[in-house]
Amino acid sequence: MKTGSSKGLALRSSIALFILIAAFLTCVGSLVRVALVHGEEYKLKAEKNQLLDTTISAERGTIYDSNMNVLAKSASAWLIYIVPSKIENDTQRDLVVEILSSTLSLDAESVREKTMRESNYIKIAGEVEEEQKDEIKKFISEHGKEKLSNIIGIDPDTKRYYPYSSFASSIIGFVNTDDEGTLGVELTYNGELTGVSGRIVTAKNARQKKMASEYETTYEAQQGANLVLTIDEVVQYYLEQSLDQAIIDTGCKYAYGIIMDVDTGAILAMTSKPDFDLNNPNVISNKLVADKISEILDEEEKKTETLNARFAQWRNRTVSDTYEPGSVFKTVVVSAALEENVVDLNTTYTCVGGIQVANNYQKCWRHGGHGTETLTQGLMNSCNPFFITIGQKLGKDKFFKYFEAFGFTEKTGIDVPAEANPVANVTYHALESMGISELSSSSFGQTFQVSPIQMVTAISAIANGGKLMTPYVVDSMLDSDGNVIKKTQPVVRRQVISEKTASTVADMMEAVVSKGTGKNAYVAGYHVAGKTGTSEKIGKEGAYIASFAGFAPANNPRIAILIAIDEPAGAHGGGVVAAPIAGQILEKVLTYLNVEPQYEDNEMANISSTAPALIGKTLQEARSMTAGYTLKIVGKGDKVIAQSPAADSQIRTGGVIVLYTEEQYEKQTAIVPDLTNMTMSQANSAAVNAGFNIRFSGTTNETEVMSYKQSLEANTEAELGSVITVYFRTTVNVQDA
Amino acid sequence: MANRSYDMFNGIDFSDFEPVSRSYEKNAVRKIEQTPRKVSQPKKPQLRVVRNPVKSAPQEKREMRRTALQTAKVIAVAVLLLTMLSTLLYGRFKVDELDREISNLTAEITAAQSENVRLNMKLDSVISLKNVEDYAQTKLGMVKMENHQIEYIDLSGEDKVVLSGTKSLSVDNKSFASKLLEYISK
Repeated sequence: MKTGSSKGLALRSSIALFILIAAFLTCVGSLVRVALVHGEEYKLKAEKNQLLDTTISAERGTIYDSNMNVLAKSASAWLIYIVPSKIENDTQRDLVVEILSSTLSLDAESVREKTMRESNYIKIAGEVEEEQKDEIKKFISEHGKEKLSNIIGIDPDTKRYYPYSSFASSIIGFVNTDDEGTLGVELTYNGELTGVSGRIVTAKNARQKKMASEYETTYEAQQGANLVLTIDEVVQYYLEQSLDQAIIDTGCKYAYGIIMDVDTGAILAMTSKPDFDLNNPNVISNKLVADKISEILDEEEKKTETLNARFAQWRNRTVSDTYEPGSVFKTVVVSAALEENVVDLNTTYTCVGGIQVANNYQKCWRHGGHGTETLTQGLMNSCNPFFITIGQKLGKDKFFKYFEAFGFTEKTGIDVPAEANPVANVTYHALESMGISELSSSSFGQTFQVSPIQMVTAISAIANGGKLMTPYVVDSMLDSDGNVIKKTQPVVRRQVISEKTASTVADMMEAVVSKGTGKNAYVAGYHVAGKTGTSEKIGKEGAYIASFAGFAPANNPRIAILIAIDEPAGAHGGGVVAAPIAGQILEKVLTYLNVEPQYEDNEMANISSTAPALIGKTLQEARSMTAGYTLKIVGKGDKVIAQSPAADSQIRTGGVIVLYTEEQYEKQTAIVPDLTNMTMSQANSAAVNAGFNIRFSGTTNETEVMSYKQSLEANTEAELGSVITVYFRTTVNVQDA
Repeated sequence: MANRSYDMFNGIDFSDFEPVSRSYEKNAVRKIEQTPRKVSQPKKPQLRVVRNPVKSAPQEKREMRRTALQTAKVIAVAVLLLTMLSTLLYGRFKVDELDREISNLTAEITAAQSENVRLNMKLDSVISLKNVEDYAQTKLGMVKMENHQIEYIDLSGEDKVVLSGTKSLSVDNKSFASKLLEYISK
């Protein structure tokens, strides 16, 4: 009996022990599973349950021009979405369509279509401003019975503002709906501009509501870096204004230009026209193209054409496109030949109108040839046979050495995206595949392609004493307090030619503008150096690119310029089409940059006098002060109340001055005469006879100049005495191809 | 003690050495074992007349005062606790209210900042160079400055003082003695 009970006790104890051990092991196992295996998962779940995590989006950095004018800035905005699955009846649907389409200026049918979808989230519009959001919220609360708050949702969003719309669009670029840079410096410097998002971690109560701020931890967002560009708003404006006008005047397909600081490589202005509105990058800005697309009936084709048009308008042609530089490249060839002592300033050549190259006879653009010419004259005349001879004398090794040294076989390294990549035997002739024909045609800038940015960098090297610079558009980066965190230092890639050679070529290029094919780029008071170029587009017969590349002032270069007019409708020579535009831009830019003009005697003679200040003077005094001018007095008073043109306006002797002598005077007007296609004296007489004053601009140092443009449109009404700026150019001896 | 033999204690009842109460209990146990159990009758509660002690007037007064003081103390503690609780609740309420206010103001600031940016951008677009130039030329009839109208002043030379009229810059630094001598010599 005793033995039996002991056994039973032992058994029971064993079972109890086993249960205890099993329970213990289960506990330990569960602990291990919870803590080690699923530890992180449960931790996250717990945190999610207990903590409210709100992201503070970092403000995208601002983009400034070199004068600290804002070119791009971000601000918080709103995103409007709908939850179609919550729409219960047609009344709700109608109200949603009504408020969203009217407030956000959307097509009502498209909004209605979105409300019909079976979805829990459909974005209606992003970048919605506060005012519109408030209007929607007010509408929702006014229609509380319809429970619109369950259907229309409002989320925070950001909006990027570009105050000057299309200004410098190809350089600045834009951001997509996720606030990421898509083009221009917005893309290149996306990482720096974006910043680091912050967080607010708050404890939640049992009802999942936010608890007091003492349970809150904030990790502040770090604002993205601000960019200061090298682009000068004023210089950029002058370039864009002139190229917009060039598209109208020449009927060209595209016009692009670059202005560069020759000493640093900083880009002061860069544009590719036609461009686009940065605030609406998807809208086709070219009306002709947009109209053409809207006429397409096939939806698929319409879509493709719209996409193509978008990419075309976004393209920065100064960096991404390549073109045959034509005669502009002769400046590089002459630099190489002078550096290698293959030629000197006394070298002469007799052009007979062509030269035999292998099996081809290469004609000079001038029938009958240029006759005997010096090296400078050869460049002034842009004589192809002369440069073929120079190229052949130089030999392919030396030619290629300088071709490479001037940076035509590599990217320039500019900090804007999508720079064209030079490819041997595709965009240029590689050394090993360069025969006599390739060498000869390359010597006058044909059969190879370069990008405009490569060409202007090479011209800058001639201007700055032979240093090939790396072009750049971002001058510095600033933190949110305005402290400089990074400053771009100019980079000299290499010394390409000696200072002496560079100076010699600069003098030769100045002669091109003062007496050669580039004389339409002449600017009174400034010494402009440059070279014109005309090239036929590869694979497109009858389509040309007219260009001008140069720098100023020639004696102390500050800026280099390249202007390219792509597929002009009428005249296509660089000297006729591109050079006058470059001249107009240089005149404005050099004045803005405070470069002191130095007038020659003959230039001073062409400079008009200025209208005297006559307001407040008696008629007798006014008459004595305006001897030599045509005076027109309006009213019966004895004192001058107003005058036209305004005091200090530039008018020529013999010009018209209108004086108003009564307080309640009516402005005297007349029809503006057509002053184009006239010589300087003809235009002057026509203007004065019609009661207007004239101001000469452009090439005025030549006898055979003709007017081609005027500031006030012909046959419009303008106040008597107004000053009409008339632009002159010559068409004689400016052909280069 | 342990070596002592059991006989040594034979016949000795240890309960005799225990305290009286315990020994009584022991005897009681014995008694119970020996006598048949009786059903215990519930005892009738005995009535006792308690007389209030007669207190003197000052004693009563003192006692009343003590009672009043006690009550006051309790009330004071209760009020204090209530006040603390109210303060705590009020503080909590105030913190919540301020939190809400902060978050509303932060939202307002953000909205105002965004509006400020929007308006500045609008202003910038209105006063763009193109618009300013158009307005100046077409509405105000202004003309651009010409290059030849600029007068350049050369400041590279040394600083000079130009005197107007017959004024002299020479300083009268003669001593009193020399002035006196001069006066006398006149």
